Amino acid sequence: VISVRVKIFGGLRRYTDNKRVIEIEIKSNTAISEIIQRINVPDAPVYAVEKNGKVVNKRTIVDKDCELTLIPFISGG
Amino acid sequence: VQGVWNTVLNVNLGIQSSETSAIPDEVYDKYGMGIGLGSYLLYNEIAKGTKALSAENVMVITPGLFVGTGVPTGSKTVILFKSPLTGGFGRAVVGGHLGVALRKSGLDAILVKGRSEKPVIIKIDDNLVEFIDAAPFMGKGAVDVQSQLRKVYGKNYRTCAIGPAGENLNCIAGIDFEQRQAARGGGGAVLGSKNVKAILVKGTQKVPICNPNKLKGLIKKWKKELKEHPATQADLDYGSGEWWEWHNLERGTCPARNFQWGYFQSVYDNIEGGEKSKLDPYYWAPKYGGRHTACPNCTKPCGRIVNVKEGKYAGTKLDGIEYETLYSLGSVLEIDDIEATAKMNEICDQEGLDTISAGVTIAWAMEAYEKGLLPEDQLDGIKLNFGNADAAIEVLKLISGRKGYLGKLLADGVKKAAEKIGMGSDKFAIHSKGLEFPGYDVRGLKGTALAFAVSVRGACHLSAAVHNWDLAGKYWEFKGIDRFDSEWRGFQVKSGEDLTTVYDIYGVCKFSRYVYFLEGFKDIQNSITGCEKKDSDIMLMGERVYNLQKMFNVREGLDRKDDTLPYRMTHEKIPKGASQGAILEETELRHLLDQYYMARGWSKNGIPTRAKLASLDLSGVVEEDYGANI
Repeated sequence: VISVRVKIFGGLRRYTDNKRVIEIEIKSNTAISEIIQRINVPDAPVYAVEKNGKVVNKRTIVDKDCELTLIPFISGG
Repeated sequence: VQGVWNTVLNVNLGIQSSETSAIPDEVYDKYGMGIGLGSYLLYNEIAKGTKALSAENVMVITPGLFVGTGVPTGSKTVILFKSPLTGGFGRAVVGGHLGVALRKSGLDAILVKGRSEKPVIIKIDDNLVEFIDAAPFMGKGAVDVQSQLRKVYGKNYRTCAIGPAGENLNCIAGIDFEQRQAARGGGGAVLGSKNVKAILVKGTQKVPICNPNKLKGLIKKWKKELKEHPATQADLDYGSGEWWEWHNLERGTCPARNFQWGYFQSVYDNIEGGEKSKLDPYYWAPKYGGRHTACPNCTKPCGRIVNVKEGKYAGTKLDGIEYETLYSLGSVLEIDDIEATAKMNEICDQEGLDTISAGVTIAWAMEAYEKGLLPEDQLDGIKLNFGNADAAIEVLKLISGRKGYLGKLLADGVKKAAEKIGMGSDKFAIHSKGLEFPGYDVRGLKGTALAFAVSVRGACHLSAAVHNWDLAGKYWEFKGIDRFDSEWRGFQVKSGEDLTTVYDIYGVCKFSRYVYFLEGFKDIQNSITGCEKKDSDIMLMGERVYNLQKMFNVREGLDRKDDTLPYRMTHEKIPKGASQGAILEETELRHLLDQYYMARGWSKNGIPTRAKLASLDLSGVVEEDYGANI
């Protein structure tokens, strides 16, 4: 079992009762997409994911304690 | 080519006459509409060395191909001119309704030429032109005057107008299109120099469509795609600044205090437990946000009426507030007061000022003031410290009227202001080629840094629109982008520029850039024009048009020396936050430029080679002498 800290920004918080950070414990070797599902955030609005500060594919497998950041769609400009 | 009128209108202000001229099919096939047709016309109409505020400058107003056809978010019109701010290719892209009226008037573009002796309003009914005395309307706000004109002449007229800033030939003045702004590059001053207060257009014809049934099906499909896309809901609720907090905290590239900080340190270092910056739309949109406002055929309206009902800025009401303005009239001035930002936004809209240029110029003045570089006895008692919203509001009014020491100093943007006072103040004047920076600290976004340095119109986030690629690490066919890495950026920026040029040829809003890609454009343009185009044809057209814009600048003498970044970007590190320590040293900038010129097929001096111009079928269009050998 490993600990994952998930940071949630912007419109994605509508799916987490406005929580900014969720910490969960999961089995080692879990895909990030599954972790996102576990915290009840739908896949489509998550534009990108960072693992410990680096943008990674949602299919990436997590096997150690880490921090994930869920990135919303960026407007700007 | 169907879907176009093969006709442009030449308005000759000097003799108050107009005539149409025919444009052959080949031009549309090669350049498309919007920015393509406009760049072709501007290049051919303006002679080398023309002064931007002289009668010889020409303003071209041309809607994109999809405008007026019902295609969702196809509402963008392109305004082109020689820029008084940069001395180069001036370009502003705007939503709103005038473009639709123009498309329905039997015209593909209006060319505003010469200078009227007295202030006029140009009124266009299909292609019949009338010149109306503008004297009763001079000095009026850009937004107000359009409401008045539509009351007098009828709601069927769609309008654009300048405010007092444009009348005063203020080089950071823009043009208002019924509360959408063609703000960048000083187009308002160009119209002001021609003595044109406003333009009214009524179109009564139907845009000719090659295959209406096919187009109908595509409109239905793309409306659904846009409506259901996950990016849409956040935009609807919170507008273009939805990602404010993330940009500040997770990227540290949201400029504050005249780019001394990469995030709003004095706010975010002092708030606790879920509190928000007052500039964060999650704070202000539920409190002040009213009904949504949309451009024609937009299914994801980002505009929203903001209404301040209480406090010292009570009565402030505007359509906004966009991300760029949260930055330029907020964080870059170290002001965390959304009511003050709303007030300044309203002033800029009415006075006809570009919110980005105005804010960044005031931020420079604040830093100069705090460094003791401005003469205290000539400031009319204004204490221009960072964070002083009332002072910023006062200065905006002075700028618009060119009044007092500060108004005269700042009315033509930050580059000219720094040149006037000297004393090393150019080191914190944040612009490229004279155009003030949009809201991205490019020290932590290397692709965006290159894009700002090389953009033909000066520092611009929408010439390549690669900021979101850098920020999220991916976009389109590009993945795994490390925002601090300066390798392989040339091809990224070139691709971004060619793609955004395609958006501006078709007149599609770049806020739909997560939804529409080439396959959407290919089918829609085919149903309108009847011309088969492959993805590669469309991208080649974008590349051709971008090179033509570049050649406008080359003819004016701009080259590698002008593709640069402010001293602060290349000599000072971001002090704190998620981009702490980031800098873009001059050696790195040189490396980025080399990569970009190679990807573009340009010379080491940043000039399109003759071989490249030939491959783009531009050899006979641009004067041979201006192309480079390798």
